[in-house]
Amino acid sequence: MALTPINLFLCLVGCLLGTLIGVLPGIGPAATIALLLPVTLALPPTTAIIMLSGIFYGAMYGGSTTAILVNIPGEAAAAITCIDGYQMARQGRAGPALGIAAFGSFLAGTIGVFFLMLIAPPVAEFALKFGPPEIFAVMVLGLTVLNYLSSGSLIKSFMIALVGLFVGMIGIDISGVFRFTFGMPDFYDGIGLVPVLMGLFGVAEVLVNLEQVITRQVFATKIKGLLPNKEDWKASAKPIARGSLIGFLMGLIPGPSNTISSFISYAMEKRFSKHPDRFGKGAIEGVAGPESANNSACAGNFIPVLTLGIPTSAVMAVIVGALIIHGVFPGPLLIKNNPDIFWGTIASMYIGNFMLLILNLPLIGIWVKVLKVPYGLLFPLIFLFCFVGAYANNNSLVELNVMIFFGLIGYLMKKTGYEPAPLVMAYILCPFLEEAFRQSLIKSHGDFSIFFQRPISATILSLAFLFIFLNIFTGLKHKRKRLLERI
Amino acid sequence: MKNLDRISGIILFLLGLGIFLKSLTYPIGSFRSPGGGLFPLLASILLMGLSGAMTIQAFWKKNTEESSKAPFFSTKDAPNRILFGFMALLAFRYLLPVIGFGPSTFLFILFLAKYLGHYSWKMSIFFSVLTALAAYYLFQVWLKIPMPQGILKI
Repeated sequence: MALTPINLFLCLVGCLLGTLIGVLPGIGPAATIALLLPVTLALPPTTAIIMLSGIFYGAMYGGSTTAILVNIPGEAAAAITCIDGYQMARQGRAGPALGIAAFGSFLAGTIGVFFLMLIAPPVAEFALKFGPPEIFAVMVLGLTVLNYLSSGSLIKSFMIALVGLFVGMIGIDISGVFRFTFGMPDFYDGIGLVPVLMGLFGVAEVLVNLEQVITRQVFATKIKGLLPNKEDWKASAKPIARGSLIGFLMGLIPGPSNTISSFISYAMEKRFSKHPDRFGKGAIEGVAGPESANNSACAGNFIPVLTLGIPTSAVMAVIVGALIIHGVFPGPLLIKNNPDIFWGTIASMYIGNFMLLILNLPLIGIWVKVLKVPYGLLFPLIFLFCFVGAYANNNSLVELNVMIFFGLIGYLMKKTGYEPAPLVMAYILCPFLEEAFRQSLIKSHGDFSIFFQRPISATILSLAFLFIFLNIFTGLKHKRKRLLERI
Repeated sequence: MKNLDRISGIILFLLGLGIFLKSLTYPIGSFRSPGGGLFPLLASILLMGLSGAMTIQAFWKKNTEESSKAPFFSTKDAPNRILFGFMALLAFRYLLPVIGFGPSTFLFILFLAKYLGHYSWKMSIFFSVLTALAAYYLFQVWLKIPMPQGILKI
């Protein structure tokens, strides 16, 4: 199914686009996937998902290329790769650094997909027992953990998630009440996902970058010998294996797991290493481990999405939105009702990982050229793409207003320390969260204790509260931050 | 930062208050049979609580941290650049239905490249003509996205 020529071709297109935007600053995978949503509407759902997930893996690859060559992470997940990757490039070893990043990502991605295949069906089977209270509890846990792990303050994350809920409430609710539409017919069906994403992730990002004239230096060495030598492999084998495992486990947890897992992998490799002093000075383990971890986390990320319908990150939230637009409802029933989508996505990951490996190594020269496109010419194009993407979604000028509005809001949020991811996630989850909440109350005849009397939902909710209390009472977050700063 | 926390806290509190009052106009129902207003009502109470707490906390703490002195904008030019960028977005949005996709794209890109990218007139015009033509053929002709055509029908 995933091997039909059209699927292969679109997987290739997705991977290429993903790498391109991973290399370019100022536009991330979430915005790109949102941009391409209207294009995929004409495609069958499986094909669309294959292409959109290709963008996701591609962006992870592209992000590491810029981290190594320019010391600028194209994606947040590649931030840690800068440390040793850039040092390797300065020592004339950019080739092996890029090579090991590509091979490590490929191996880890494959291992991650293998685990995904093993674990997802039983998890979905288990989740079939979930009623409204459990679904509500899982979503609350997802939002809490996302808030907990996001870099800003916890209270701000919660507030901005609540704002996201309000945005999600705009439109007609399940009982037919018009809420917060202000009499505008364009808002009856709710605020469109695409303009919100274009605004928060596209326009806002560019506005922040616009504050100053950006110039950057591409490291001007000839890249030769992409293949890591025997010694490199010997040093990298274990970090890749450990990174794959950690990445996958972290990917299961809602939150920016790509970023967190690469940080953890780096810290771990430094601790396991016999020569920790080499880290920061161009140690290949410091590239191999984190790069593997963030790719395998991508695979792990898909488990909560495909089995519970809970997005773990902004990118996954957009993928859930895409599935819903295509009439597929991610959740425990997905594997049973739409096996073609589930297995198609998994197959596309294998293919995508392989494509990226053979694409990336020979194409690195082109990506380096792309890197040299000055930002002054790039940002008008990003704006233009946002405009076309937001407009084409429904051919509506109102959606452009929504995009510009959220662009401004996103900019102000960035300046005041609020992150966009909790807002987007709460906004996408809102209809499901509210429905589960209301159904639970109807089921229990208005008794709130239903959430705590059923063992599964009680356990999940206690976990969520545990995260909140840990934060308040122990200041664990500050310790975590300090830990991250130390490595 | 503390100052910004106060302002954003107050804004979010007012937002919560607005939602709270608006929710009261929707059918609330009861916990037994919740109506459309119940969920926003509870969420707005939560938002008012959190934002109120943060605002009070921000006033309580003394402005001793260094971050409190950090300016809102990173450079002296920043406010103007942001204003220009934002006005360009608005202008593009409102020119679009009037003069059509191709011409408004040309003006939009020209303005951004010249005034925010600091390119020469020659380079800016070359780049914006190229982009407008490419965008017109890519989106309107090839992908058949019905972008607004305006009075010129192009």
